[in-house]
Amino acid sequence: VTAACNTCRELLGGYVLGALDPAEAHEVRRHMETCPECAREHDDLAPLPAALDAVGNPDVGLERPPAALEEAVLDRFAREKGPAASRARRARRRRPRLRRVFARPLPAALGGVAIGAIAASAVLALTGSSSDPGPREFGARLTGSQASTAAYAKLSAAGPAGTRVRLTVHGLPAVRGEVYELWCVGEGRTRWSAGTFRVDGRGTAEVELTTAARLGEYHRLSVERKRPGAARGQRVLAGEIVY
Amino acid sequence: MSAALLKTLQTDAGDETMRTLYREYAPELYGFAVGSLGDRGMAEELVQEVFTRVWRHADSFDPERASFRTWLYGIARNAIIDMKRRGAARPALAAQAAEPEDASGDEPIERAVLRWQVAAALARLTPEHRQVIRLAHFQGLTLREIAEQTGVPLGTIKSRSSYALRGLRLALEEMGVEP
Repeated sequence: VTAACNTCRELLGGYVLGALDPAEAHEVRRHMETCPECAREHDDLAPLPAALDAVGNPDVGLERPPAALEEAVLDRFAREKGPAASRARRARRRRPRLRRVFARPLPAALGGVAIGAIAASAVLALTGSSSDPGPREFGARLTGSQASTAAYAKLSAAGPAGTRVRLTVHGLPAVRGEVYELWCVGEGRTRWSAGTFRVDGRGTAEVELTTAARLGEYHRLSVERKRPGAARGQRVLAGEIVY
Repeated sequence: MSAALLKTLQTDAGDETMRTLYREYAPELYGFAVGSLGDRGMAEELVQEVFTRVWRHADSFDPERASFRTWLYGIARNAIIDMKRRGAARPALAAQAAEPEDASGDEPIERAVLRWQVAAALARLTPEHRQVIRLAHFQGLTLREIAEQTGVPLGTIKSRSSYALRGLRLALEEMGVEP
């Protein structure tokens, strides 16, 4: 591999995409006439523009299903597969309201295009305290304040005192040196932290958090991004709980 | 994806198999459904319907005839047709059915599957790589114009465009696609 090869390899992407200046494109062509290795590299990439033409819209694959859809699919599978499997599954599952919450189409007018225009959205569900005779379940959908964020979250809580919260987040950006914090927001300005969490490189997190607030004491949930130790951060997701 | 794994859907291990299938294929199926139906709520319905049909018709999957993804696409296409037929009575859905990007139309199945796969492969790229492909291929900008528009040095844009295409190629290969 020569210096000319390195130059050629650097330009190959632009060459295949037809995005080089004419002089550079000429340079790439001339080099490949005498360099079979670079020509082979070109042949590997050359079919890609035609494949891209098949897509039409480069962002359509970015749409991510809401986290609760998995549960809904597995529920339906268990339900339709047979009564025995269904019973076993019902015993494990404590989130019947989830499906109803998620079954509603998102309010945003979507063409399935322009992911950037889609407000970040998250879905939450709370499972009530075990001191109740039956399971109490609540859900909420959280919407992001930043249009560039595409996030979904699922959250369930259980426990005799306060609320234990399981939070699943997709698509929140990982910012170095900053964490996310989940807040339960009550009347006036009262709010309880449910703790902080981080997202991985892919913007997802699956964490279990605990808050001292009991269900019914708060009506909104919000997620803030902040520096560790800072009192307040920037709100990135928020939404009402459906009681 | 093996036929043997699909057979386990009928057993006690069916839940786990279904979860595995869902996690592997639901994101790209959902993206495809949103693109085809233009509506997230309907896309969610479609995903549920497709996975239900997967286990009901698991016996009909023949790996010798088609890849699992191709088979799954065939199911999705039929489900979209059924959904639109049902929705024809409802004005809102009827309007959706008139959208030009219509997976149930005359599009050859191979091309539709390719569309699905390339969209899924693009989704695996980093935002920077996807951006350079979007600007160069879909918006027709030169690398020089991309550098000016994004404020990123031209040298970086050049190497990024090459890495982006190699990344796309690799993502397609991992999905078993020979572009």
